[in-house]
Amino acid sequence: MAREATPGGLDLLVLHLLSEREMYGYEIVTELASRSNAVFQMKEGTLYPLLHRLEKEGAVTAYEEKKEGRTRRYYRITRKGRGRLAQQREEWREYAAAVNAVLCMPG
Amino acid sequence: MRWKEGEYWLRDAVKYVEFPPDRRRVQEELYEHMISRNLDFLARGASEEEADRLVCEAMGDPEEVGKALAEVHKPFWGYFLRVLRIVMALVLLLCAFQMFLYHGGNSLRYYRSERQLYEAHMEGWIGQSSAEKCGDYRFRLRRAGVAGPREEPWPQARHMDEDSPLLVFGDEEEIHQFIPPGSHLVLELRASTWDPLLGNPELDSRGFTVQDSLGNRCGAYVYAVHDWGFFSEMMILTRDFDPAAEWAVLTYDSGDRSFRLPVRLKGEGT
Repeated sequence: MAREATPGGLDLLVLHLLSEREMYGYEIVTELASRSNAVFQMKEGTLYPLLHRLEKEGAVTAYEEKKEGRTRRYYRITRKGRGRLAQQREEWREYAAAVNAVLCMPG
Repeated sequence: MRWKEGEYWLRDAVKYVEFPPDRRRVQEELYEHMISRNLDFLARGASEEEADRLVCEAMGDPEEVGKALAEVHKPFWGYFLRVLRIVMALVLLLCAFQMFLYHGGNSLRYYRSERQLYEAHMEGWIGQSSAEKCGDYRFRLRRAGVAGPREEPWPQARHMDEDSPLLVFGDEEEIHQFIPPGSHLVLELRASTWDPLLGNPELDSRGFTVQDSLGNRCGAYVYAVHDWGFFSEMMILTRDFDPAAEWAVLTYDSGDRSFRLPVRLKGEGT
């Protein structure tokens, strides 16, 4: 089942991946698909507006690095980004717990 | 590598980003992504044509992506920053130009000579901070000193015509005639103004007199004026000034305009 991540949730997922290590766009897309068993297969072009918005908001910073003749733009989470990640994680936990409670599933 | 459809996709997406430097950056990043994806499809056995098509499908709708990018990359701030950079560069250039005027180039011959003049012929230069308002001008004494006999020619400068109440242009030869050998009091005034001093009918260059601490009173005349745009400078000279004087007062009096500037010539406290 291939499904796009919801726009609101994509910030959380991307920030979480970047909190583990610095990544470039293509790497984020493949990592997201791989970890979700291809459930979160986004339209890849839509990742970049999100990354650029996060950069503009100061949640991530970007730098370019040349490797094997190719210039890649790496993204790194900032302190502000980590704060936002923590907040979004908490919101997600509350949301998931509420959904599970309705479905009578253990949280 | 077949790459036709991908190029169209890229062009269609980035055209929404209006600020050129941002557009370039976005294009390079998306291109890099698409190359990676293309190579991935090729590695999985797709043909070049197929890989090209699959890449575009994976990227999504170029219009949607482009519009979302345009939301982030607003041209206003890009252009604002660019204009700010240009303005700052112009300000730096202007500062450099002003410094050039003071320390190099043709106009500097005058200032170089003046500096040599101060070092070789003048004593007791003491800056003053008092300022006097006269009409639209506010005059401040920058430097004062007693000049000894000069052997070298005075530098070319604009000066007054002795027969005219106004400040006018003159050539180098005339200036030499105005400044004979001897001991002179030389005053340099600065006027903060956008209004050039040269040719201004408000300023009568015959209105200056100097009285020194020994009781001597004599005429002073403007021998050089420089209009710099932000300010003007005026050099005033009193011939046959007694070097023993400890202080002097420069007085300007012409019709309803007048001011007095004290000039200390011999150290503090005297």
